Amino acid sequence: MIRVRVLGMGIKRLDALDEDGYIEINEGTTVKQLLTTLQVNALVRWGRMYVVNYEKVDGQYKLKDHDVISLIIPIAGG
Amino acid sequence: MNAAMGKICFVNCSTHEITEEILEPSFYESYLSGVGLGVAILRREKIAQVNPFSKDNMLGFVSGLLTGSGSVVTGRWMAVCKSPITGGWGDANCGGTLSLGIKQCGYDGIFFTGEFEKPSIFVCDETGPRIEDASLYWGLDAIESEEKLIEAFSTKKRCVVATIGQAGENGSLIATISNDRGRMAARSGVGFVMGQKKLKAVVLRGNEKVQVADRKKMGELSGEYSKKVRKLSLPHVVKGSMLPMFGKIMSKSKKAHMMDGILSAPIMKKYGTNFANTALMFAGDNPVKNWGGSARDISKEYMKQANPDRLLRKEVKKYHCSSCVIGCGAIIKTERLQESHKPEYETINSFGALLLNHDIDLIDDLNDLCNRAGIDTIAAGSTIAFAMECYQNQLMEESFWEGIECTWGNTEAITVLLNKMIRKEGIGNIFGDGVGVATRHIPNSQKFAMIAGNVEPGMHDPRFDPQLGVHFSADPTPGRHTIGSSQYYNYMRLWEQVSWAPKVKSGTPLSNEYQVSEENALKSMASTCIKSVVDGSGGCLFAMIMGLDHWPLFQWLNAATGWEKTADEYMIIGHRIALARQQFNVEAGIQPKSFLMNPRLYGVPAQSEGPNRGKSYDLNGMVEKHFEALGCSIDGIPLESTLNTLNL
Repeated sequence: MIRVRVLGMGIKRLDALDEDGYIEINEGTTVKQLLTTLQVNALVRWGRMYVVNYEKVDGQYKLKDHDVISLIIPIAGG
Repeated sequence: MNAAMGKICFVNCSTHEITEEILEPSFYESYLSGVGLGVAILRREKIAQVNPFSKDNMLGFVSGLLTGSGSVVTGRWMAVCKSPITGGWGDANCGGTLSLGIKQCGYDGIFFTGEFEKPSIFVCDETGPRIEDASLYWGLDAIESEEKLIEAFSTKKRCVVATIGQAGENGSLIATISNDRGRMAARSGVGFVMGQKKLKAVVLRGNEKVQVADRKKMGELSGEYSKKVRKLSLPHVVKGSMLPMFGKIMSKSKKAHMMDGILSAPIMKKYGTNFANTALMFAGDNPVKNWGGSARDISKEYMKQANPDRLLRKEVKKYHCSSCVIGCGAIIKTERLQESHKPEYETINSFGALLLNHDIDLIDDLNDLCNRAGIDTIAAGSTIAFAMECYQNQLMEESFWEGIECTWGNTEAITVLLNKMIRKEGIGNIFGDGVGVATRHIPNSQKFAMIAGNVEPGMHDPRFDPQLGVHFSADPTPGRHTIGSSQYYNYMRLWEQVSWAPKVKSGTPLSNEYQVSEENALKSMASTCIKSVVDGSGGCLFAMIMGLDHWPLFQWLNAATGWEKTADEYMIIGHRIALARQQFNVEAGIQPKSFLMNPRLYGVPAQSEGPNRGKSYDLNGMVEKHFEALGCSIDGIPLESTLNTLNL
């Protein structure tokens, strides 16, 4: 198992993450698989509106221990 | 002194006397610079006790402690005064180029008292500070006068200019100070105070450098942050028409998510702030129809016209404030405008959804008109919305309206009324000073006055985000949307550096945000303190929201000054600045609780439709808890013990 962090909005299966946004997953899990499991908003997944460790990756990127998956979000305010 | 210039300038407009004062390094450890410097000087000079409409009022232009130090997104300046709108503390925060210009003249701030006998400009260049006649420039609009001043006073090095337009000259309370051809210090009536002093412009062209303690470290920190921001971009397949999806996600979300604020950079970089005119409409963030409507009043045509891709097509180049790596501004060209700043979110909403005006292209013209006249677009749009609701409810005789059919969405009425407000002509005399003054002329109109402490709030709905309502009502500059909100708090992740700042836990019910609680009060206090640190440093709100885990504010402050302060120690400085602003109001005789906003804004009565349907909260209770957290009585009066602890 590896531990990764998912940050962003539109995550339907929020209960799968701990209070800091961490989740344990099987080694070899791709970012697409994880976001599908978490039922992240379809447009975010389809539009690849995410980065891993602040780098663009494609959906087949195999997640590593301690990876941070961040979803694009808007600022409400300012 | 590292980071600061260690010197301020005083100009007595009545006597033309110009003096300088050296500030001890310890001063900056107490107040940083920027808004901290401003409030410390105005309190010392007992400006709280003067009549804000008299020549005794003081107007200060202050730069940020980090401006020019090699940090990034820290180039903002502030104008400070006693506000003629609230009768209390006044400040207005602005981007553009002036902050660095102040420091290059060797000053951290320039303060004006008295009143010129005839229109004048203040010039500071290699020959030092002086006063010159402004007769060539008085009467010109803000942009035209800036262009002419740049032409007249630039050498190989271009000067930077802050100037007022006709609104400031004509004595409008909602007048602004402009720099960089339409970047506005818009709030608190700062443009009125400048006009009252007959100070047409401040023209700066200096060459002094800002010294820092550890330039290598500054470079490393800035390089790392800039690289991260530059690399983040929006995938090409994502279109502006898709962005309202975010609003729908927000409106359906019942639990807090753990956010990564810097991931808001891709949208901001591409579209600027006006992506939010459509993206957040269905979240309930955008006020509609004088805050009485909802997204359900917004037509498909509005959403189509305000699609940020459509607005993008008018852009001829991106605009960055001094030292900014985000670049949320832009210069546009339209059929009618050769060159103009792209309207910001606030402007599009206040002249768009707030008035049910679906002609978004017209807002380019209204924005340009306001920029040239030097008038606050939030206040102007809000005042027209107020007028429309008064008209709808027939509060005045038909003759009062001078033939203007002030119905919702009537573009001709909007244009005519705005022009009259700028010129203070006819009915413009009633509406040209904002909603608060207009209510005095229109009986029974208070219920339609969407104000907090006489100020028209920023275009973000406190029914969507209750912490916004706390800051609208409790800040010494009421109605201010740039102090704090639950969204900002969640995004900036202050708890990772500040020991006492409550952590936002993923999965926490969002309904908690509507409760009176110690935790919410600590969050609003933390927002107040950190925003004071940001405003003392010259930092940008957007960089703050994008996350203090990315934007290394505290680390820059240490590297620039040579101090070794912790985040908690900087928050104490922020607390001091915030309470000094609050104490200024108390010294001015203001009861802080009198700033509570119109009940409509916190859901009394609750809306029956739209994304904020049924939402309301105990604003009074939340504000009292906030005041207590800050070390004040529940009425907002700073306690003696708090003032002593903070050396105030």
